[in-house]
Amino acid sequence: MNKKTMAAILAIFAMLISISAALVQGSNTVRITFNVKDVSPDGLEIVSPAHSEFSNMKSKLLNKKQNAFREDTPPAAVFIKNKSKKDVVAYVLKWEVTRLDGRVETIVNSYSRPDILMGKKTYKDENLSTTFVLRSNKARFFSLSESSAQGRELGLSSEADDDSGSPASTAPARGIGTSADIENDSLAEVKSITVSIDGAFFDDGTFVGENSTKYFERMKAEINAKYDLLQDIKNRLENGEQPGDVMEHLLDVSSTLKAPNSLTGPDEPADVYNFFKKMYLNEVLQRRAIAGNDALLLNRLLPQNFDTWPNLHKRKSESTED
Amino acid sequence: MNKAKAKERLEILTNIAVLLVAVAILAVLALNYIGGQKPVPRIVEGLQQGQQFPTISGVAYTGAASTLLIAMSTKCAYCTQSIPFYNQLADMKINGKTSLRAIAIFPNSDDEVQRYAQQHQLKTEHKSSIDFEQLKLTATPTMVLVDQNGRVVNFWVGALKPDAQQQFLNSLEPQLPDS
Repeated sequence: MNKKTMAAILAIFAMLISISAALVQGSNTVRITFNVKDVSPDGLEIVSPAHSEFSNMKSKLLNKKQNAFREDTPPAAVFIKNKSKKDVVAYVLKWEVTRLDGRVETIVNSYSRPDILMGKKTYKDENLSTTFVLRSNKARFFSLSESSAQGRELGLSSEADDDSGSPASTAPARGIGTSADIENDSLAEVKSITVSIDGAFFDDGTFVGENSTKYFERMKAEINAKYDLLQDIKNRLENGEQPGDVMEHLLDVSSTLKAPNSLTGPDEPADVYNFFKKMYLNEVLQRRAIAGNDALLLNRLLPQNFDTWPNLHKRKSESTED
Repeated sequence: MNKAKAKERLEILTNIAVLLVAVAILAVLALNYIGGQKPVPRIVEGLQQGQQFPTISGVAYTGAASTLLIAMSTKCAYCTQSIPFYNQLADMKINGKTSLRAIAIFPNSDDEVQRYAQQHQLKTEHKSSIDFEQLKLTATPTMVLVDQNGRVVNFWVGALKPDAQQQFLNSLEPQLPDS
Protein backbone atom coordinates (compact mmCIF):
# COMPACT_ATOMS: atom_id res chain seq x y z
CA MET A 1 0.00 0.00 0.00
CA ASN A 2 1.78 3.09 -1.19
CA LYS A 3 1.20 6.64 -0.08
CA LYS A 4 -1.06 7.47 -3.04
CA THR A 5 -3.39 4.60 -2.23
CA MET A 6 -3.41 5.63 1.38
CA ALA A 7 -4.30 9.22 0.49
CA ALA A 8 -7.06 8.06 -1.83
CA ILE A 9 -8.61 5.86 0.85
CA LEU A 10 -8.50 8.70 3.37
CA ALA A 11 -10.05 11.08 0.85
CA ILE A 12 -12.89 8.62 0.20
CA PHE A 13 -13.48 8.26 3.94
CA ALA A 14 -13.52 12.02 4.42
CA MET A 15 -15.97 12.39 1.54
CA LEU A 16 -18.26 9.73 2.97
CA ILE A 17 -18.21 11.39 6.36
CA SER A 18 -18.99 14.80 4.79
CA ILE A 19 -21.90 13.35 2.82
CA SER A 20 -23.24 11.64 5.94
CA ALA A 21 -22.94 14.89 7.91
CA ALA A 22 -24.76 16.80 5.17
CA LEU A 23 -27.51 14.18 5.12
CA VAL A 24 -27.79 14.29 8.90
CA GLN A 25 -28.06 18.08 8.77
CA GLY A 26 -30.69 17.84 6.03
CA SER A 27 -32.76 15.39 8.02
CA ASN A 28 -32.43 17.65 11.08
CA THR A 29 -33.98 20.61 9.30
CA VAL A 30 -37.58 21.10 10.33
CA ARG A 31 -39.91 23.12 8.18
CA ILE A 32 -42.13 25.34 10.30
CA THR A 33 -44.83 27.42 8.69
CA PHE A 34 -45.45 30.77 10.35
CA ASN A 35 -49.00 32.10 10.08
CA VAL A 36 -49.81 35.65 11.10
CA LYS A 37 -53.00 37.38 12.20
CA ASP A 38 -52.42 41.02 12.92
CA VAL A 39 -54.50 44.16 12.83
CA SER A 40 -52.55 45.98 10.16
CA PRO A 41 -55.49 48.20 9.11
CA ASP A 42 -55.19 49.68 12.62
CA GLY A 43 -51.42 50.03 12.36
CA LEU A 44 -50.39 46.97 14.37
CA GLU A 45 -48.27 44.60 12.31
CA ILE A 46 -46.55 41.35 13.12
CA VAL A 47 -43.16 40.70 11.54
CA SER A 48 -42.44 36.98 11.69
CA PRO A 49 -39.10 35.22 11.04
CA ALA A 50 -40.51 34.33 7.61
CA HIS A 51 -40.33 38.00 6.61
CA SER A 52 -37.09 39.40 5.27
CA GLU A 53 -37.64 42.43 7.49
CA PHE A 54 -37.28 40.24 10.58
CA SER A 55 -33.56 39.67 10.13
CA ASN A 56 -33.00 43.40 9.53
CA MET A 57 -34.83 44.23 12.73
CA LYS A 58 -32.96 41.52 14.58
CA SER A 59 -29.66 42.91 13.33
CA LYS A 60 -30.68 46.36 14.47
CA LEU A 61 -31.50 45.01 17.91
CA LEU A 62 -28.22 43.06 17.97
CA ASN A 63 -26.18 46.12 17.14
CA LYS A 64 -27.98 48.00 19.83
CA LYS A 65 -27.29 45.60 22.63
CA GLN A 66 -24.59 43.15 21.67
CA ASN A 67 -24.94 40.66 24.45
CA ALA A 68 -28.62 40.99 25.09
CA PHE A 69 -29.93 39.11 22.11
CA ARG A 70 -28.81 35.61 21.39
CA GLU A 71 -27.85 34.80 17.86
CA ASP A 72 -29.92 31.64 17.86
CA THR A 73 -33.22 33.47 17.93
CA PRO A 74 -35.94 30.99 18.81
CA PRO A 75 -38.26 30.17 15.93
CA ALA A 76 -41.35 31.24 17.83
CA ALA A 77 -40.46 34.91 17.86
CA VAL A 78 -41.90 38.01 16.28
CA PHE A 79 -41.61 41.76 16.22
CA ILE A 80 -44.78 43.78 16.68
CA LYS A 81 -44.80 47.12 14.98
CA ASN A 82 -47.05 49.94 16.06
CA LYS A 83 -47.37 52.13 12.99
CA SER A 84 -50.39 53.97 14.40
CA LYS A 85 -50.27 57.42 15.97
CA LYS A 86 -51.44 56.13 19.35
CA ASP A 87 -49.72 54.06 22.03
CA VAL A 88 -51.02 50.58 22.74
CA VAL A 89 -51.28 50.16 26.50
CA ALA A 90 -52.84 46.71 26.84
CA TYR A 91 -52.74 43.82 24.43
CA VAL A 92 -52.84 40.07 24.14
CA LEU A 93 -50.73 37.80 21.97
CA LYS A 94 -52.05 34.37 21.10
CA TRP A 95 -49.65 31.65 19.96
CA GLU A 96 -51.05 28.47 18.46
CA VAL A 97 -48.51 25.71 17.97
CA THR A 98 -49.66 22.91 15.68
CA ARG A 99 -47.91 19.59 16.19
CA LEU A 100 -47.30 16.99 13.51
CA ASP A 101 -50.15 14.89 14.85
CA GLY A 102 -52.56 17.81 14.39
CA ARG A 103 -52.80 18.82 18.05
CA VAL A 104 -52.90 22.55 18.61
CA GLU A 105 -51.47 24.07 21.79
CA THR A 106 -52.59 27.57 22.58
CA ILE A 107 -50.51 29.94 24.66
CA VAL A 108 -51.93 33.34 25.49
CA ASN A 109 -49.87 36.16 26.94
CA SER A 110 -51.26 39.54 27.87
CA TYR A 111 -49.42 42.75 28.67
CA SER A 112 -51.28 45.64 30.25
CA ARG A 113 -51.04 48.99 31.98
CA PRO A 114 -54.48 49.29 33.58
CA ASP A 115 -53.43 52.52 35.31
CA ILE A 116 -53.27 54.22 31.92
CA LEU A 117 -56.75 52.95 31.13
CA MET A 118 -57.75 54.47 34.48
CA GLY A 119 -56.82 57.92 33.31
CA LYS A 120 -53.12 58.19 34.17
CA LYS A 121 -52.04 60.91 31.79
CA THR A 122 -48.48 61.30 33.04
CA TYR A 123 -47.39 57.90 31.82
CA LYS A 124 -45.62 59.45 28.84
CA ASP A 125 -43.10 60.97 31.26
CA GLU A 126 -41.96 57.50 32.29
CA ASN A 127 -39.17 55.55 30.62
CA LEU A 128 -41.60 53.57 28.53
CA SER A 129 -38.91 51.57 26.79
CA THR A 130 -38.63 49.51 29.97
CA THR A 131 -42.34 48.71 29.98
CA PHE A 132 -44.41 46.66 27.58
CA VAL A 133 -46.28 49.68 26.21
CA LEU A 134 -46.27 49.50 22.41
CA ARG A 135 -45.38 53.07 21.64
CA SER A 136 -46.37 54.75 18.45
CA ASN A 137 -43.78 54.26 15.70
CA LYS A 138 -41.91 51.61 17.69
CA ALA A 139 -41.62 47.84 17.56
CA ARG A 140 -41.11 45.25 20.26
CA PHE A 141 -39.65 41.76 20.20
CA PHE A 142 -41.65 38.86 21.60
CA SER A 143 -40.78 35.21 21.91
CA LEU A 144 -42.59 32.16 23.12
CA SER A 145 -39.36 30.94 24.67
CA GLU A 146 -37.36 32.49 27.43
CA SER A 147 -35.37 35.27 25.84
CA SER A 148 -33.29 38.06 27.23
CA ALA A 149 -34.64 40.22 24.44
CA GLN A 150 -38.26 39.65 25.47
CA GLY A 151 -40.22 42.85 25.03
CA ARG A 152 -37.18 44.82 23.88
CA GLU A 153 -38.10 47.98 22.01
CA LEU A 154 -36.90 49.12 18.63
CA GLY A 155 -37.54 52.33 16.74
CA LEU A 156 -39.20 52.09 13.36
CA SER A 157 -37.50 55.12 11.93
CA SER A 158 -33.76 55.73 11.64
CA GLU A 159 -33.85 57.79 14.83
CA ALA A 160 -31.63 56.72 17.70
CA ASP A 161 -33.39 54.46 20.15
CA ASP A 162 -33.44 54.94 23.84
CA ASP A 163 -31.33 52.50 25.70
CA SER A 164 -33.92 49.97 26.62
CA GLY A 165 -33.45 47.34 29.23
CA SER A 166 -35.54 44.24 29.14
CA PRO A 167 -38.96 45.14 30.47
CA ALA A 168 -39.46 41.64 31.80
CA SER A 169 -37.87 42.54 35.11
CA THR A 170 -40.16 45.49 35.74
CA ALA A 171 -43.42 44.43 34.19
CA PRO A 172 -43.85 40.69 33.91
CA ALA A 173 -46.16 39.40 31.25
CA ARG A 174 -49.46 38.18 32.51
CA GLY A 175 -50.34 34.90 30.96
CA ILE A 176 -53.99 34.06 30.58
CA GLY A 177 -53.45 30.61 29.22
CA THR A 178 -51.13 27.70 29.59
CA SER A 179 -47.47 28.50 29.47
CA ALA A 180 -45.01 26.50 27.47
CA ASP A 181 -41.45 26.79 26.42
CA ILE A 182 -41.22 25.72 22.84
CA GLU A 183 -37.45 25.42 23.07
CA ASN A 184 -37.84 22.64 25.58
CA ASP A 185 -40.25 20.81 23.37
CA SER A 186 -39.21 18.75 20.46
CA LEU A 187 -39.00 21.26 17.65
CA ALA A 188 -39.18 18.44 15.15
CA GLU A 189 -42.80 17.90 16.17
CA VAL A 190 -43.93 21.42 15.31
CA LYS A 191 -45.66 21.83 11.99
CA SER A 192 -46.83 25.41 12.16
CA ILE A 193 -47.02 28.38 14.46
CA THR A 194 -49.81 30.93 14.29
CA VAL A 195 -49.38 34.17 16.15
CA SER A 196 -52.13 36.72 16.47
CA ILE A 197 -52.77 40.03 18.15
CA ASP A 198 -56.05 38.89 19.59
CA GLY A 199 -56.81 42.21 21.19
CA ALA A 200 -55.24 45.59 21.81
CA PHE A 201 -56.28 48.75 23.64
CA PHE A 202 -54.97 52.08 22.43
CA ASP A 203 -54.36 54.76 25.05
CA ASP A 204 -57.69 56.42 24.19
CA GLY A 205 -59.57 53.22 25.10
CA THR A 206 -60.23 52.02 21.55
CA PHE A 207 -60.06 48.25 21.24
CA VAL A 208 -59.11 46.33 18.11
CA GLY A 209 -58.67 42.64 17.40
CA GLU A 210 -60.58 39.40 17.02
CA ASN A 211 -61.13 39.09 20.79
CA SER A 212 -61.42 35.30 20.76
CA THR A 213 -59.91 35.33 24.26
CA LYS A 214 -62.55 37.79 25.59
CA TYR A 215 -59.71 40.14 26.42
CA PHE A 216 -61.91 43.20 25.91
CA GLU A 217 -64.46 41.98 28.48
CA ARG A 218 -61.76 40.95 30.96
CA MET A 219 -59.91 44.22 30.75
CA LYS A 220 -63.13 46.17 30.98
CA ALA A 221 -64.11 44.13 34.06
CA GLU A 222 -60.79 45.00 35.70
CA ILE A 223 -61.19 48.71 35.02
CA ASN A 224 -64.87 48.72 35.97
CA ALA A 225 -64.09 47.07 39.30
CA LYS A 226 -62.03 50.08 40.35
CA TYR A 227 -64.32 52.60 38.67
CA ASP A 228 -67.40 51.22 40.46
CA LEU A 229 -65.60 51.16 43.79
CA LEU A 230 -64.43 54.76 43.51
CA GLN A 231 -67.79 55.92 42.18
CA ASP A 232 -69.50 54.25 45.15
CA ILE A 233 -67.18 56.04 47.58
CA LYS A 234 -67.73 59.35 45.79
CA ASN A 235 -71.52 59.00 45.81
CA ARG A 236 -71.61 58.11 49.48
CA LEU A 237 -69.46 61.07 50.46
CA GLU A 238 -71.53 63.41 48.30
CA ASN A 239 -74.68 62.08 49.98
CA GLY A 240 -73.28 63.14 53.33
CA GLU A 241 -72.05 59.84 54.70
CA GLN A 242 -69.19 60.16 57.16
CA PRO A 243 -65.81 58.80 55.96
CA GLY A 244 -65.78 56.34 58.84
CA ASP A 245 -69.18 54.99 57.79
CA VAL A 246 -68.03 54.70 54.18
CA MET A 247 -65.05 52.68 55.36
CA GLU A 248 -67.28 50.41 57.41
CA HIS A 249 -69.43 49.90 54.32
CA LEU A 250 -66.33 48.93 52.32
CA LEU A 251 -65.38 46.49 55.05
CA ASP A 252 -68.84 44.91 54.81
CA VAL A 253 -68.61 44.65 51.04
CA SER A 254 -65.17 43.08 51.26
CA SER A 255 -66.25 40.47 53.75
CA THR A 256 -69.32 39.43 51.76
CA LEU A 257 -67.92 39.64 48.24
CA LYS A 258 -67.33 36.22 46.74
CA ALA A 259 -64.26 36.39 44.56
CA PRO A 260 -61.73 33.87 43.29
CA ASN A 261 -58.43 33.83 45.18
CA SER A 262 -56.46 34.02 41.96
CA LEU A 263 -56.98 34.36 38.26
CA THR A 264 -56.01 31.24 36.39
CA GLY A 265 -56.25 32.41 32.82
CA PRO A 266 -59.41 32.02 30.82
CA ASP A 267 -61.57 33.41 33.64
CA GLU A 268 -65.06 34.71 33.13
CA PRO A 269 -65.29 38.53 33.14
CA ALA A 270 -67.53 38.38 36.24
CA ASP A 271 -64.79 36.55 38.13
CA VAL A 272 -62.22 39.06 36.92
CA TYR A 273 -64.47 41.89 38.14
CA ASN A 274 -64.94 40.35 41.59
CA PHE A 275 -61.27 39.46 41.91
CA PHE A 276 -60.14 43.01 41.22
CA LYS A 277 -62.92 44.58 43.27
CA LYS A 278 -61.85 42.54 46.27
CA MET A 279 -58.21 43.37 45.59
CA TYR A 280 -58.89 47.12 45.43
CA LEU A 281 -61.10 46.94 48.53
CA ASN A 282 -58.35 45.18 50.43
CA GLU A 283 -55.83 47.78 49.27
CA VAL A 284 -58.05 50.56 50.62
CA LEU A 285 -58.57 48.77 53.91
CA GLN A 286 -54.86 48.08 54.31
CA ARG A 287 -54.06 51.72 53.66
CA ARG A 288 -56.67 52.67 56.26
CA ALA A 289 -54.75 50.78 58.88
CA ILE A 290 -51.64 52.80 58.07
CA ALA A 291 -53.20 56.20 57.33
CA GLY A 292 -55.42 56.40 60.39
CA ASN A 293 -57.42 59.25 58.87
CA ASP A 294 -60.41 58.06 56.83
CA ALA A 295 -61.35 61.45 55.37
CA LEU A 296 -57.84 62.15 54.10
CA LEU A 297 -57.44 58.64 52.68
CA LEU A 298 -60.74 58.70 50.80
CA ASN A 299 -60.02 62.12 49.36
CA ARG A 300 -56.66 60.92 48.11
CA LEU A 301 -58.22 57.86 46.54
CA LEU A 302 -60.79 59.69 44.52
CA PRO A 303 -59.68 60.97 41.15
CA GLN A 304 -60.16 64.66 40.41
CA ASN A 305 -62.26 63.83 37.44
CA PHE A 306 -63.59 60.54 36.12
CA ASP A 307 -63.83 62.11 32.67
CA THR A 308 -60.10 61.54 32.16
CA TRP A 309 -60.72 57.79 32.18
CA PRO A 310 -60.72 56.57 28.59
CA ASN A 311 -63.99 55.12 27.35
CA LEU A 312 -63.20 51.48 26.61
CA HIS A 313 -64.90 50.67 23.34
CA LYS A 314 -64.47 48.42 20.35
CA ARG A 315 -63.50 50.12 17.11
CA LYS A 316 -66.55 51.45 15.30
CA SER A 317 -66.32 49.12 12.32
CA GLU A 318 -66.85 46.17 14.64
CA SER A 319 -70.34 44.80 14.43
CA THR A 320 -70.75 44.74 18.19
CA GLU A 321 -70.04 48.21 19.50
CA ASP A 322 -69.72 48.39 23.27
CA MET B 1 15.52 -10.51 1.11
CA ASN B 2 13.95 -11.23 4.50
CA LYS B 3 14.83 -7.77 5.63
CA ALA B 4 13.09 -6.25 2.61
CA LYS B 5 9.99 -8.41 3.19
CA ALA B 6 9.87 -7.50 6.85
CA LYS B 7 10.16 -3.83 5.96
CA GLU B 8 7.26 -4.18 3.51
CA ARG B 9 5.11 -5.94 6.12
CA LEU B 10 5.93 -3.32 8.68
CA GLU B 11 4.94 -0.64 6.20
CA ILE B 12 1.60 -2.35 5.52
CA LEU B 13 0.90 -2.77 9.22
CA THR B 14 1.76 0.87 9.87
CA ASN B 15 -0.55 1.98 7.08
CA ILE B 16 -3.40 -0.16 8.40
CA ALA B 17 -2.87 1.22 11.88
CA VAL B 18 -2.94 4.79 10.56
CA LEU B 19 -6.09 3.99 8.63
CA LEU B 20 -7.81 2.48 11.68
CA VAL B 21 -6.90 5.46 13.82
CA ALA B 22 -8.21 7.84 11.15
CA VAL B 23 -11.49 5.90 10.87
CA ALA B 24 -11.85 5.82 14.64
CA ILE B 25 -11.30 9.58 14.91
CA LEU B 26 -13.77 10.28 12.11
CA ALA B 27 -16.33 7.92 13.64
CA VAL B 28 -16.07 9.68 17.00
CA LEU B 29 -16.41 13.06 15.32
CA ALA B 30 -19.43 11.88 13.31
CA LEU B 31 -21.12 10.41 16.39
CA ASN B 32 -20.56 13.63 18.31
CA TYR B 33 -21.94 15.61 15.40
CA ILE B 34 -25.07 13.48 15.14
CA GLY B 35 -25.63 13.28 18.88
CA GLY B 36 -25.22 16.99 19.53
CA GLN B 37 -27.19 18.17 16.54
CA LYS B 38 -30.35 20.11 17.34
CA PRO B 39 -33.10 20.37 14.75
CA VAL B 40 -32.57 23.42 12.60
CA PRO B 41 -35.86 25.24 11.97
CA ARG B 42 -36.53 26.45 8.47
CA ILE B 43 -39.24 29.05 8.81
CA VAL B 44 -41.51 29.49 5.83
CA GLU B 45 -44.22 32.06 5.36
CA GLY B 46 -47.72 30.77 5.90
CA LEU B 47 -51.12 32.34 5.89
CA GLN B 48 -51.44 36.02 6.62
CA GLN B 49 -54.61 37.91 7.38
CA GLY B 50 -55.36 40.53 4.75
CA GLN B 51 -53.21 38.92 2.07
CA GLN B 52 -54.49 37.76 -1.28
CA PHE B 53 -55.27 34.04 -1.28
CA PRO B 54 -54.18 32.13 -4.39
CA THR B 55 -56.91 31.14 -6.79
CA ILE B 56 -58.13 27.57 -6.85
CA SER B 57 -59.30 26.02 -10.06
CA GLY B 58 -63.08 25.87 -10.14
CA VAL B 59 -63.57 28.24 -7.20
CA ALA B 60 -64.65 31.80 -7.94
CA TYR B 61 -64.40 33.92 -4.80
CA THR B 62 -66.71 36.46 -6.40
CA GLY B 63 -69.49 33.87 -6.40
CA ALA B 64 -70.31 34.48 -2.73
CA ALA B 65 -69.94 37.27 -0.18
CA SER B 66 -67.39 35.08 1.54
CA THR B 67 -65.97 31.64 0.94
CA LEU B 68 -64.77 29.26 3.61
CA LEU B 69 -62.10 26.93 2.33
CA ILE B 70 -61.68 23.89 4.53
CA ALA B 71 -58.36 22.17 3.97
CA MET B 72 -58.88 18.50 4.76
CA SER B 73 -57.21 15.18 4.15
CA THR B 74 -58.72 11.73 3.91
CA LYS B 75 -56.08 10.55 6.40
CA CYS B 76 -56.74 13.24 8.99
CA ALA B 77 -58.65 12.10 12.07
CA TYR B 78 -59.35 15.66 13.30
CA CYS B 79 -60.93 16.43 9.88
CA THR B 80 -63.26 13.45 10.18
CA GLN B 81 -64.16 14.45 13.74
CA SER B 82 -65.07 17.94 12.50
CA ILE B 83 -67.38 16.79 9.69
CA PRO B 84 -70.61 17.32 11.72
CA PHE B 85 -69.58 20.99 12.12
CA TYR B 86 -68.76 21.36 8.42
CA ASN B 87 -72.11 19.74 7.60
CA GLN B 88 -73.84 22.29 9.83
CA LEU B 89 -72.28 25.03 7.70
CA ALA B 90 -73.47 23.30 4.54
CA ASP B 91 -76.98 22.96 5.98
CA MET B 92 -77.07 26.64 6.90
CA LYS B 93 -76.20 27.55 3.32
CA ILE B 94 -78.80 25.14 1.91
CA ASN B 95 -81.47 26.50 4.25
CA GLY B 96 -80.60 30.09 3.36
CA LYS B 97 -79.39 30.91 6.88
CA THR B 98 -76.02 32.09 5.64
CA SER B 99 -74.47 33.29 2.43
CA LEU B 100 -71.16 31.67 3.38
CA ARG B 101 -70.00 29.13 0.82
CA ALA B 102 -68.07 26.29 2.45
CA ILE B 103 -65.79 24.25 0.22
CA ALA B 104 -63.70 21.33 1.44
CA ILE B 105 -60.42 21.02 -0.41
CA PHE B 106 -58.29 17.90 -0.41
CA PRO B 107 -54.77 17.08 -1.64
CA ASN B 108 -55.97 13.53 -2.32
CA SER B 109 -57.09 12.07 -5.61
CA ASP B 110 -60.66 12.46 -6.82
CA ASP B 111 -61.54 8.78 -6.26
CA GLU B 112 -60.19 8.88 -2.75
CA VAL B 113 -62.10 12.05 -1.92
CA GLN B 114 -65.36 10.75 -3.36
CA ARG B 115 -65.06 7.58 -1.31
CA TYR B 116 -64.22 9.58 1.82
CA ALA B 117 -67.09 12.02 1.31
CA GLN B 118 -69.54 9.20 0.80
CA GLN B 119 -68.27 7.18 3.73
CA HIS B 120 -68.39 10.12 6.15
CA GLN B 121 -71.41 11.83 4.57
CA LEU B 122 -69.61 15.09 3.97
CA LYS B 123 -72.21 17.57 2.71
CA THR B 124 -70.01 20.51 1.73
CA GLU B 125 -68.78 21.06 -1.80
CA HIS B 126 -65.41 19.39 -2.21
CA LYS B 127 -62.44 19.69 -4.53
CA SER B 128 -59.66 17.14 -4.93
CA SER B 129 -55.99 17.14 -5.99
CA ILE B 130 -55.32 20.59 -4.55
CA ASP B 131 -51.70 21.62 -4.09
CA PHE B 132 -51.66 22.70 -0.42
CA GLU B 133 -48.07 23.93 -0.56
CA GLN B 134 -48.98 26.47 -3.21
CA LEU B 135 -51.79 27.67 -0.90
CA LYS B 136 -49.37 27.86 2.07
CA LEU B 137 -51.42 25.27 3.93
CA THR B 138 -49.48 22.86 6.10
CA ALA B 139 -51.90 21.47 8.63
CA THR B 140 -55.29 19.83 8.33
CA PRO B 141 -57.91 20.80 9.08
CA THR B 142 -57.39 24.48 8.36
CA MET B 143 -60.26 26.85 7.59
CA VAL B 144 -59.56 29.95 5.54
CA LEU B 145 -62.23 32.62 5.22
CA VAL B 146 -61.81 34.54 1.99
CA ASP B 147 -63.81 37.59 0.92
CA GLN B 148 -65.15 38.14 -2.59
CA ASN B 149 -61.93 39.89 -3.57
CA GLY B 150 -59.92 36.83 -2.60
CA ARG B 151 -58.43 38.40 0.54
CA VAL B 152 -57.89 36.31 3.66
CA VAL B 153 -60.33 37.64 6.25
CA ASN B 154 -59.48 35.07 8.90
CA PHE B 155 -58.15 31.55 9.28
CA TRP B 156 -58.12 28.78 11.85
CA VAL B 157 -55.43 26.12 11.97
CA GLY B 158 -56.48 22.85 13.56
CA ALA B 159 -59.87 21.52 14.53
CA LEU B 160 -62.10 24.03 16.28
CA LYS B 161 -63.18 23.18 19.80
CA PRO B 162 -66.96 22.99 20.37
CA ASP B 163 -67.17 26.49 21.92
CA ALA B 164 -65.17 27.97 19.04
CA GLN B 165 -67.43 26.15 16.56
CA GLN B 166 -70.47 27.71 18.24
CA GLN B 167 -68.79 31.12 18.24
CA PHE B 168 -68.14 30.71 14.52
CA LEU B 169 -71.73 29.69 13.80
CA ASN B 170 -73.00 32.68 15.81
CA SER B 171 -70.76 35.02 13.87
CA LEU B 172 -72.25 34.08 10.53
CA GLU B 173 -74.34 36.87 9.15
CA PRO B 174 -78.00 36.21 9.83
CA GLN B 175 -80.30 35.85 6.88
CA LEU B 176 -83.19 38.28 6.85
CA PRO B 177 -86.47 36.60 7.80
CA ASP B 178 -88.84 35.84 4.95
CA SER B 179 -91.44 38.55 4.53
